[in-house]
Amino acid sequence: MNEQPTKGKHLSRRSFLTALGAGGAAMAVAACAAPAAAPAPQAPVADAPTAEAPAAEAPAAAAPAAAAKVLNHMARHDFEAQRGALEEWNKSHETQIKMDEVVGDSWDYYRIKMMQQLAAGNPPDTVFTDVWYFRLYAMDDVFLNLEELIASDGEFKKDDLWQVCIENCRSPDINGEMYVLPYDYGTHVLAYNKKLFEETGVDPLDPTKELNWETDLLPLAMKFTKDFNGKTPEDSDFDPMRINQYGINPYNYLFWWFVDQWGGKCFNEDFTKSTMASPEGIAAIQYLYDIMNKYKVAPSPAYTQSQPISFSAGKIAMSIVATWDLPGITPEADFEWDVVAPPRGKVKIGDGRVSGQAIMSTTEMKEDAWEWIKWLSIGNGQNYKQAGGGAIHPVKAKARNDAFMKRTKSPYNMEAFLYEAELGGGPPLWKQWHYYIDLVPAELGRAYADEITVEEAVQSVDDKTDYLIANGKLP
Amino acid sequence: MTQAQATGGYTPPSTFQRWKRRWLRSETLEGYGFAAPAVLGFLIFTAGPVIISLVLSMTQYNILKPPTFIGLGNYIEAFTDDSLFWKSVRVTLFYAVIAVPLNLVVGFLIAILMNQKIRGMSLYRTLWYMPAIVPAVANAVLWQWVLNPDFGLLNLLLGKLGIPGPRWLVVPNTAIPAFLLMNLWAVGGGMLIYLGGLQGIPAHLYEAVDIDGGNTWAKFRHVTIPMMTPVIFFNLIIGLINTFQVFTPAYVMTQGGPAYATYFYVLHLFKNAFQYLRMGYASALAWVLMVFILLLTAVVFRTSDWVYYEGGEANR
Repeated sequence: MNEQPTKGKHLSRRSFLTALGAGGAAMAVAACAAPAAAPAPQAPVADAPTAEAPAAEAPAAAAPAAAAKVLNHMARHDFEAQRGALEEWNKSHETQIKMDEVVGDSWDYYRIKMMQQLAAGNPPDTVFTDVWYFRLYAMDDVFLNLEELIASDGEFKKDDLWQVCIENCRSPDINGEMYVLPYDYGTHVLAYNKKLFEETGVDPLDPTKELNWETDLLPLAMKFTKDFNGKTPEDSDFDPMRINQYGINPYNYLFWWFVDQWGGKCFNEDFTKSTMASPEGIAAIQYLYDIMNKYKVAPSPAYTQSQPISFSAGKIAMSIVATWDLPGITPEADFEWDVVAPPRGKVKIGDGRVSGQAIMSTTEMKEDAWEWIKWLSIGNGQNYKQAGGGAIHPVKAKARNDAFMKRTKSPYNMEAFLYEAELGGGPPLWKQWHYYIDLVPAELGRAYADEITVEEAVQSVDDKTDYLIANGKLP
Repeated sequence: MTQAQATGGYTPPSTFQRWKRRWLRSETLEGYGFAAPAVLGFLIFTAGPVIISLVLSMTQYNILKPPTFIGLGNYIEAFTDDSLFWKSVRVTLFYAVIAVPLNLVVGFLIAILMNQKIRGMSLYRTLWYMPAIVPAVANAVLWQWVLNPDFGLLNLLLGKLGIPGPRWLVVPNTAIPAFLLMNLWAVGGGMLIYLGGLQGIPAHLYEAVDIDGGNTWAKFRHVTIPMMTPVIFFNLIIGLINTFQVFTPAYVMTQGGPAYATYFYVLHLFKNAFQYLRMGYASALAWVLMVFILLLTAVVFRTSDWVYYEGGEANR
């Protein structure tokens, strides 16, 4: 018996493909359609901060809100602060912000995503940016020069800010004008493990007394550096190949800070010549070399790059830490610890750095974008950052706020961070910094690896940096 | 009399009509339809970027500004005015010269072991293969721990044997050996292919050696190796291609250090593209690598007389 056809129950291949093609075409058409209107904003809260969006200027609630898009980078521990700020903004402002969260600790990935959006012609209106790279964007007018907006704003005053917050957000070798508003500001201090101090019978560090790198810190670090047999570098049978606990992590990537502290300078005044190879500069790098290779009290940069060792793991007695490290260390460290002013060299100078918020020059919502980044920098948005405990308020007068100062967990001596902020100082940021920050650690690393001498490495830094200055690229 | 009259009013279809009808009736349309996603995906996401990268390689382009055509400037710069280019070439070549044969030999030997008939072999095979499917970043982080000179598992084991473990990734001399070791850990991928090849060797060939009075070594020398040459050849080609593209462990574990000891070619390319924003130059570097691998592969093919293809001619 012939089988009856089952027409109508199954699609033929051709019908299936036709339907698939039609569906695809419909989706393509839908994708090209105008975007849906942003959700209507909620009515402004009566007691909401009004400085950013004065009630008199607010359009009627029924009017459709323009949606400003924001690409925002944040470290993992920072999501809470950013989301909290976003939520408050969207509740209290007419213009709604859409935030693109880029998960991950690496700036590289964030940068790639931002560039992809730029290349695709779909840039955000505002971005969170590191100070390492913003000069590139400023030079090519990707970021908006903020001077005009600052001048016309009655609330944002440069004089209110810490000096580093201004210096980091502009570049003297471009035009000296601000392209970024400070958002995430921090300084470097010395953290110490109280538990290890107690176990070693050493008194806790006195927050009122400053140590010297050579005469105080080094002998102290010798006491805490131990091999797996409990021997210290002062013992004749100390095994430098099996170190169980280091005395100090000086964060040697802060090479400019050490050069500054020893009385040297990485550049001349107008960034036209590299000057690290001065006797002072060489002495500073030699000190770093010595504590790693001669006295063995500090891990080398290659070690810290390739090995998961950290202060919070309890294997380093003292470490230079930054304000932005606190949200990471505090929950991880299961011991009491605190911070004091960092050890000093010949010149008393601090080291601070700030990441900030910038406006893309392509934005069609310049005013809204300004209000948003200003709100994050010095407005209520910054309060959420302060609550996270990992940043100094960019406005000097607001720095001693309760959220930052009154902590229930280690560290307690937050005054140390502010003292360093008062001292000022920071990296010699210039327009080729994105090359420079790669070049210098690599060259100095050759000395730390005993491939060349410190003097040769520092001279190599000068030679290659001068080439970079002259040619805009690495040799 | 016209043809239509002669055929009783029927006009035979033209060649085009016949072709069109046949094409529509046949499965050609469906075939193209089903293949379209893959073909379009290749054209848009692979061929397109490849062609664009070739164009970009002749430009100065930092994404932030439109590209400027500079001809072969990037290629000339790579060969004449970039010391890190040559440094990265040296590191990569040094690594490849050791890594490729090492992986071929070790993978082959493990496959032979995994081809034995003993209890629990499936478990052993799985254990050997598992590292090959661990994501590269996870692999790198894991080996950061293993290679830690003070607390790492490897030095701990060496210590138990009375051997003072080296500083691995901390000093230049042992950084590449550490990478080689790490690479060996994921040898399971190649091993699996060898294993497939070993199990495809006809048993009668071994029986013939038995009849001839040959021992185990004779079987290995005169049956296993010749019959495995196509698989060895395949693994050699794949190994060469992969080895010249080492990136993730260097990026995650060393950033090219210490003292440029692990400054691989693709890391140099990445830094130029995404840290220095020199997309044009990075594209040129990518094309130099592509052409180099292509030439190397061609040379390997040209010298593949040693490969035995059953049922084929001498070497094909």
